[in-house]
Amino acid sequence: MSGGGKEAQAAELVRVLFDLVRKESCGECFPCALGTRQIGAALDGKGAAGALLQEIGRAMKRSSKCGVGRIGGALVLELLDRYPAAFKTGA
Amino acid sequence: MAFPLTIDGFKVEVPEGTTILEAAARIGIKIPTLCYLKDIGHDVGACRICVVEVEGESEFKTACNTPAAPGMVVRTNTPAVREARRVTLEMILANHPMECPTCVRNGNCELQNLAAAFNIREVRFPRTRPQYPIDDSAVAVIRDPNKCILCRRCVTVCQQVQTVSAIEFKKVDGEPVVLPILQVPLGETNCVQCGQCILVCPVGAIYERDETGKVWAALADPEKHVVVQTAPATHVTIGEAFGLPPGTDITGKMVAALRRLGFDAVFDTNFTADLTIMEEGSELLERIKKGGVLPQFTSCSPGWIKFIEHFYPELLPHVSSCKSPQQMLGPLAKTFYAQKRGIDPKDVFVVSIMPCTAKKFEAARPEMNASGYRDVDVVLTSRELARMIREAGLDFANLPDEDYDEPMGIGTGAGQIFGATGGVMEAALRTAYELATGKTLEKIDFEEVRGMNGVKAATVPMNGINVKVLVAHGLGNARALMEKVKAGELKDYHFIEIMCCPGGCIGGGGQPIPTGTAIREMRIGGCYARDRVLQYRKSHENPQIKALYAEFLGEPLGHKSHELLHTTYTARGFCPKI
Repeated sequence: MSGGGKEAQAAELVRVLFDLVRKESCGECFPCALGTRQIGAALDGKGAAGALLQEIGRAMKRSSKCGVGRIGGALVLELLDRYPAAFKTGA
Repeated sequence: MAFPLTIDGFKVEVPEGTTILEAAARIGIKIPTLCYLKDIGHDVGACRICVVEVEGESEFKTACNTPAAPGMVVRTNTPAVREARRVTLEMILANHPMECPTCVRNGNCELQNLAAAFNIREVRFPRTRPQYPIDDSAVAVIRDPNKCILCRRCVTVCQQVQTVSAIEFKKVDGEPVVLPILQVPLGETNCVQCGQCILVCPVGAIYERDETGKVWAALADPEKHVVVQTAPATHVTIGEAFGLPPGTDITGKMVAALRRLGFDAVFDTNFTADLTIMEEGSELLERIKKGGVLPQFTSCSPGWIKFIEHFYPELLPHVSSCKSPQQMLGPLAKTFYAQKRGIDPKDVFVVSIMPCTAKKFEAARPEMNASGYRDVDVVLTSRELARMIREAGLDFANLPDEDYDEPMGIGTGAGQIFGATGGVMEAALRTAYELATGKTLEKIDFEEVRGMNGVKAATVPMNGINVKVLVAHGLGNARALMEKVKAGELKDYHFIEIMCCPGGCIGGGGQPIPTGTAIREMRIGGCYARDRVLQYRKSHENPQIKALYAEFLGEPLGHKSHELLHTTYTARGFCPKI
């Protein structure tokens, strides 16, 4: 993990975790397949922000077909709660 | 056993095996769906639009494929459910090109309908999927992966129903996508161009090659004598594009519409369906008499022909050498008709109105130029003709009923039922029986070969032989029969009818959308209803067929017939261009 402040470290953590979800996502069910990509775009500073990401997280958590999307959704909500800046800045 | 459950506070009693979706429908709640398509057994739960809350479960359940259970408490319309559905739909729309006014499915799109039903007014997310090139490598079927929402209905129909498996769902460079097998252009695969994928696509991601422009140009060309033919199945389906119920006989209105579009002569493919019976029935009797390869397979369905060329080339000697009715009418228009009218055949331009996308492939086959010119110049699907009628502003439902032109305008009831599974067989039996025995059939309705069962069988005594026949529709059913033929299990059968599409041509890939099982059954009903009311119901009694043989062809299987009406096949093997 690179140096820098706590926020940058958090952003990198979020990115690493989300890369994993995205890789594991089989692409078959829409909330997970599309949601992971929207979150990815947000992390790059090119996507939706704030409350919209919470909506995506909730949809992923409760609508996804399997554990990958559900855990991915739960992770989004958790990370938004703890490290909201990681999403805002795009790090 | 029936049991009760509660949906949105209302009790409903359902039998075992009922899904939540079906249970809700019983009490007037239509849970929205997108990827689900019961007719082809597609309930993979991909889109998650049909999610509902089930008490005691932390995750939502998909209503389309979750069975109702005794005492279950379901909520279909909570804020959380509505939010989840809306977010999913918005993310789909974010990746879907908003080209609705120029899309082939404008006004007939399940995604558009869903967006309207959800009262979507803005999309709050950016596009996240990559751009893909449009694949227009195949003759008839074009794919636009950018519009694809990844519902995978096309994959199910191609793999499960048709057993062709020309397309698949996979992750490429980390992105989920539906694409042709081996990642080659569709035109280089074993895709048979049946177009069943087009019928099930909820959006405009798969569509036919639109050739209306070529036809408008021909109609405007003073040098061209433009003739048109209409396939049996179109007689009972095109009305659907103008709000008429499936199965409505719109023959007369279609003829009137074609004249108003400017065609110089309007012929009926039902006429050459009758001609096919004369040739193919004679071929069958000759194979039986001379110990030829049996069972004989029908050859009217170009999707089926491409299928056997790819998957069972070793069985090609079983296939009748007869061209399909479409490909018989073309060369007759450029010889028999052109001579009669004193027109140079190079100026005759033949357009076909077909229920079928594979007909475009068939017309483009290099060998189909019996008169020295292309047998058929342009094939339009039912949907394309409907577009021309709309563009011309014709009030289709209120057009008068008009008759076809001579000398290829009379089709019998036997020709009409070519549009339905079992119809070619029934038509052949009506004629073969009478030609072989010299007796008149007492009962001309062969009920055993009708209907939506995948494989049907009949035995007909004829001159001391029990003629045994089989009928299959949908390539999955065809494949099962081919395996039996290969294993030598069908040696005592004489004739097998195969139609590529479920229900036969009335369910063809060029037909009006939607085309589902119930609609197919209504269209089949329309074919048999028209058969019952026609003056002639046996191909060999068609007076214009008699005249054609007397004036021009001579006899079935004669020299001219072989030149114009028979063809050869190409053993292609699996994915020949790879």
